[in-house]
Amino acid sequence: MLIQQLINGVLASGIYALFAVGFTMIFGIMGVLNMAHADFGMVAAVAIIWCVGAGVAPLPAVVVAAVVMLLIALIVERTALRPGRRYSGDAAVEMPLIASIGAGMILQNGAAVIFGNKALVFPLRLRGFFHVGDYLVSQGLALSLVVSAVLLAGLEVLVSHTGFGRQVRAVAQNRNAAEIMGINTERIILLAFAISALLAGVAGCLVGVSYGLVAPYMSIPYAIKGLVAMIVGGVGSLPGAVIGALLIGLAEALTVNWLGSQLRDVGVFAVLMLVLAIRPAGIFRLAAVR
Amino acid sequence: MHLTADRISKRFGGLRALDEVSLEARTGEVTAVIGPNGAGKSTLLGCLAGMIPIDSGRILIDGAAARLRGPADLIPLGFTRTFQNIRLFEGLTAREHLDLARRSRERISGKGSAPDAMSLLRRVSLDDRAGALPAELSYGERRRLEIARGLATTPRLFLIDEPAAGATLSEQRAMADLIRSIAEDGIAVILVEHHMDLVARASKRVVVLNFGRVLTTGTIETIRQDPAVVAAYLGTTA
Repeated sequence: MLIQQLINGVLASGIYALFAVGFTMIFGIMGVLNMAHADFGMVAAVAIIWCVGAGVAPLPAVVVAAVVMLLIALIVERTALRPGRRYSGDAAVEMPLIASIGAGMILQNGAAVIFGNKALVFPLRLRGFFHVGDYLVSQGLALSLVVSAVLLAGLEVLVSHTGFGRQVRAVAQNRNAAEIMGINTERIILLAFAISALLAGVAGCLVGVSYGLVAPYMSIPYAIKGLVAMIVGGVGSLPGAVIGALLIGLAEALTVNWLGSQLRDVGVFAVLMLVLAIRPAGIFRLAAVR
Repeated sequence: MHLTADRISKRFGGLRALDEVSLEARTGEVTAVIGPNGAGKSTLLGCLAGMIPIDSGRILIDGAAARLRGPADLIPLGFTRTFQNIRLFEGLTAREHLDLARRSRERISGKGSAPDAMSLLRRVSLDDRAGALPAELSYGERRRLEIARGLATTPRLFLIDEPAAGATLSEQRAMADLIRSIAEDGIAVILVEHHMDLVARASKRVVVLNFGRVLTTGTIETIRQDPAVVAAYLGTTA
């Protein structure tokens, strides 16, 4: 039973990592928390449901959903986050924080008005299991883990080994000096934001693929786990976010094993408190995307 | 390149940081700006770099008004600068700093328009530190990397802010020689500096600022003998 739960924990951590990396990327580059980040996942998932329901084939539906989600994400960036960049000090942090909470509420309630406040069946679900010895491996979660690993490895290559990645790191580390180097910082911020939104969109769809259901308010627990994983790993660190996601996935699974599924979040917050007590800056003590 | 700052003024609330300051910088020359703390030297550099909006006055390039709306205009105009408090990218190696700057230049002027990163690192004696992060470099090395990063953008005007802060005497001399060689390569240099020995070694034309005004302009020899400069700069009675 314990090993089965540990397998489940590792598998679930793929989706958490996608959300956490998006959170940490935006914080690393923009210095703000985008509280609407996980809602982009919900938007992508319900957009696929809407498209497939309207008779669109699955693959074009994914493309349409990605475009819709990106457009909504860019509107959120322009209206909720960008105005804060005109200010400095606390206002530059607090204004986007509050505005993005509002944007998230608009997205959640908007989806609830359109689709109803209920769980929606995701049309592209994978509900089978692999049998590995005595253990069961969810096909959906296994796919989620593989997709997450591939995307995050690709992101690591992009950030660490390309000219675009150098520009992203430069903007994250010193926006003013980056501007003097001729980097179009607004363009880099927008591209990085779009990448983080796409990661959230993929994560939201993988929730649907793995569990078969999505809902307008589904993003709240994933936002909390993504934020906890980011803090545990070290705010601004991409590898830290992945390690943080793995730790909370395992903590959640162990809590389910020992205390039952009703108390699954206890382990998540126990890890958070433990890490904050021992290493307040997180496991990877970084303050910028690298 | 002939840069003219024509009667530039800047106020911060009740403080007149620059009061009708004029100076010129020409290709192949180092124009040094000296003055006591609070004289307005770094404010002047900020204004010339478009990072601090001026209240009045003009900045002319070869006789035409320059459109400096912010830091993003620097590279297209052929300007670059260093900072009194060094601003490097802590997660990028020395080589990556130069690659980043070269890429910016090449976006504007086409491929092959920027110098090779390793040759620039050799020029500032950092070729054996190409893979080092800023935190692994000494203070002097960090200063030189910032200058190399500026050179990688192939500037026409280089604004250098206190490059010898915290440097030893031998480092100051090496820095003066580097700055002079930058000008000799056909770049106009404006150097803000406290150390008179470095200024004397690097520059022939010196502008002295005090309380935001140009006290006098001249060669280092005439400046050193000017009683008003001695009184203002050294804080002694002439």
